[in-house]
Amino acid sequence: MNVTKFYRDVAALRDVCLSVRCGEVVCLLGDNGAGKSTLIHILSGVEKPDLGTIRVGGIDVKLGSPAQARDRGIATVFQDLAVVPMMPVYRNFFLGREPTIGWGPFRRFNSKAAIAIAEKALRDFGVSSASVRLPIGTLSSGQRQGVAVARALHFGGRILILDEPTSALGVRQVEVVLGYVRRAKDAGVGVILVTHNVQHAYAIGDTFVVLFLGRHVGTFDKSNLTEAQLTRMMAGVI
Amino acid sequence: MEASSQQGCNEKAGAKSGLSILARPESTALVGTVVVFSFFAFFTGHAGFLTLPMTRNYLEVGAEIGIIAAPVTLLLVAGEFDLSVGANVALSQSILGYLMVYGGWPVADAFLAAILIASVVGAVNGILVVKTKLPSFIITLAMLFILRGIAQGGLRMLVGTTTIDGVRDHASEDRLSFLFASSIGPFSVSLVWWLVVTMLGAWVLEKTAFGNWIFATGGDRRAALQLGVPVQVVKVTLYIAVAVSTVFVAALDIFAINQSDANAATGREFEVVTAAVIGGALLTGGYGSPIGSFLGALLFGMVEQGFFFTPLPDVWFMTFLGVVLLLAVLVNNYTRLKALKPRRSGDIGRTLP
Repeated sequence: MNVTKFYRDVAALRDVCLSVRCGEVVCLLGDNGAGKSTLIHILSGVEKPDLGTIRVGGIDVKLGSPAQARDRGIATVFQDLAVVPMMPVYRNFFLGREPTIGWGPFRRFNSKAAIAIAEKALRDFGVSSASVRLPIGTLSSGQRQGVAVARALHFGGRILILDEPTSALGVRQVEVVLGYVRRAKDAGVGVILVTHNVQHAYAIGDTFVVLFLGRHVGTFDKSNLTEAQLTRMMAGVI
Repeated sequence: MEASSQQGCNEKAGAKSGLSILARPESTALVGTVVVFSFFAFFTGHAGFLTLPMTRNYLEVGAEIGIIAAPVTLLLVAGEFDLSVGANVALSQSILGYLMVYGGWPVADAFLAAILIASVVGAVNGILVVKTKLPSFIITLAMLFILRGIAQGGLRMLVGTTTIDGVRDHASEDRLSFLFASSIGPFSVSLVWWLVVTMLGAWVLEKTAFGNWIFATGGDRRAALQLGVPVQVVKVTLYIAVAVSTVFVAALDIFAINQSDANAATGREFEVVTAAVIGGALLTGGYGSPIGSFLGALLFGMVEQGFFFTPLPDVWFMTFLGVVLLLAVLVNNYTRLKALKPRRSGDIGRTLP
């Protein structure tokens, strides 16, 4: 399966082109104000492009809302992760998509199944948490990220967009989160990693898309690019 | 090495689940209820606190508060507030009294009419809150005055007074009056309603998908919206449920004292919130338990009735209640923060093999 997306002449973005294949990690790099957020808002269906097209699996699609993007298999994990801190992990995992059992007025949240599925999904993805019954607020920030990613993939995400997943983390936590990205890649998911940290990007990325003030500086393969070159490009020094 | 760290993890998980029982929202209310009961039983038991009529009395007081406190707890968990419940009880009493005594309506018809009107009031409350995005405190405070005024002014216009006597006498022939006027063994039927409403509230909150949405709505509105939870529907539904619960209390009231009163249930809104907060609910949303609120209402009833037997003049009741409320809030806050504290950073490194 091939996934390609094109954007042209979006207000804060001009002729930006980005494509991601299965099992590939594309790092979207740029300094503050480069247009990274605008681009992922378009990709996740939050905003619409003024010009240009988005193609999923070779077919032109229109993403009118985040729900439509999700239906197309585009899962976005925003910086705030969309988790409710006081709720247990498994309740967060299924929030808005609760499995139910029973009939009519007696239909109820199937917490037994929810706990089992969430536990399995997290274990398969390598997120070891003491218990899915604990409030998600008691998990470390890296683990919370892991739950959010595992949730996105569990509900059919084939393209995973991670918005600054490492920005507020310590060194150890960054390792944990980059481990999750690696796992998603190994599972055949196309990952778009948004970051302004060159080190983190270079450690994990296959392809680098650099933006500078809304312009597309270029798309580069890891094989013909050094970390220092990448840093200079992000700063606008070519 | 690997095995030992694994074991360490398991031990911690065990300790954690022990703490999570302590951190249940209703644990403070349970301890508080036991302490208050023991206190009154020990010091005033000989004076009559332990008698059956006394028990019936405080259960009745508890039911008056608890039947409304259960849906209000769900509303608090969803992050909103309702100050209009007391006025809504008075309005429902007036509607029931007028329709039954002056209109000659059967109990069932009058009751359904009152439910219908209360549902409209609840829906208006809810829609105003979600559409204006103003604090529900202000909107339902306005509704408190509006409803109280309608109850008083409406009755004054229709019958010239604000009370209607002889409700029970009028309805004594009605087959359905047993729903609000009978006794179950030594206790008032209100106890049954109180238990049923509490169970229903707890079931909805803990066991249904809708309950999950309630937690998310009050816990983190942004996250709930991002995940497609119909936050506005949740809130409006809960406002309607709260308003409907006031009709049950109104019906029980007018049968118990044989009179409907447009000045009834003044301050009930605060008693209900007191019960919910003693029961572990957070005014900031996302946390609470109808079972805790049940215990909070029970505690309220025991304190109010039991105080009569203490040597202190009963005017000190309020002060005592205030101290209990303050203690409960402090303990609840402490246990909740403890339960939500992020785990030590030492655990984090082992998340990947």
